[in-house]
Amino acid sequence: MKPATLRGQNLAIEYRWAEGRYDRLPALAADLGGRKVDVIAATGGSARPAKNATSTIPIVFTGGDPVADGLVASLARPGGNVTGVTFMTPELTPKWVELLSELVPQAGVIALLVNPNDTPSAERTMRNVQEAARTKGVQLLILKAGTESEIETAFTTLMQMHAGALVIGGDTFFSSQGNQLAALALSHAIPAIYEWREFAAAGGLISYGPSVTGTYRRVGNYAGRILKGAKPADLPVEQPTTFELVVNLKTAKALGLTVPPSILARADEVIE
Amino acid sequence: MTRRELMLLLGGAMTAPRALRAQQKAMPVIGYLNGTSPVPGETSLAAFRQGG
Repeated sequence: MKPATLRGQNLAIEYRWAEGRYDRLPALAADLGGRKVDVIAATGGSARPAKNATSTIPIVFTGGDPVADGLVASLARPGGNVTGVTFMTPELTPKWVELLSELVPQAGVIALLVNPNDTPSAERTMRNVQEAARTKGVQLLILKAGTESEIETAFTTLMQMHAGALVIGGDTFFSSQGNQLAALALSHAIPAIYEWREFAAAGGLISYGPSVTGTYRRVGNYAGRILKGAKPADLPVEQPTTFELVVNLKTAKALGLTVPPSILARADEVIE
Repeated sequence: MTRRELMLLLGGAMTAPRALRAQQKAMPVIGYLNGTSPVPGETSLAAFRQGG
């Protein structure tokens, strides 16, 4: 166990990484539960397995919709041993489709990539993006991938089906494949949007969503407060309040796209 | 140094390691569970430990 600090407090951290294999999460969570750690930080798609592993150890999660997923009773009063920070709001998904429609107005078909290994999250994303696409009057092509090779296959399908743009559904595995996704989007000449800034920084066209570091800082804050005696039941689930829009102009140029001034004016960061 | 002061000092020296051991045992443990791997997860982890 490495000595560590959290907000200046000395503590030990037991790390359990699933390496993108979500089927390993239940055993890893059960192991932490068995060790009777003081708090579990259930990050990167691990909230549900952590909750299944213990009903007594406090859990602080990052996640999508904890009420729909049955993790907490309500955002304001979580009630049990679980609280955390969401990185989604219902307003976020339509924005992805709107931004792509502004960038590629001629696209009649938009593709959505989801990871079927995180079923609740994938289903929610499919529902929300489907609705946003219907509102915008574009067709939606849903593609599923949970491994590197499945991601490659998805891009081949997307070209065959003549999709004009791509929404990448927020997912921990996809986040870890940011470089692969950005490179494939570029080599297939497909304008793509993702939730996290890291995608645009890795050469992706555009990102819109909360900040990764901001979200994790809040999770660390809650974990620290619980160690000092706060109860998860009393700590409201936090939702992101600020969203960053990042545009990679170099990628836009490579794709032959002109980024409208309306998007540039709203961008928090423009990568040239 | 009086005999009383010496006894206090010795007493302190005897209890200090015990207190240290108790403190170490009481050091809290966080279980950090994540769906990905340490390399892409590094930035998030650093932010988590900042805990702002």
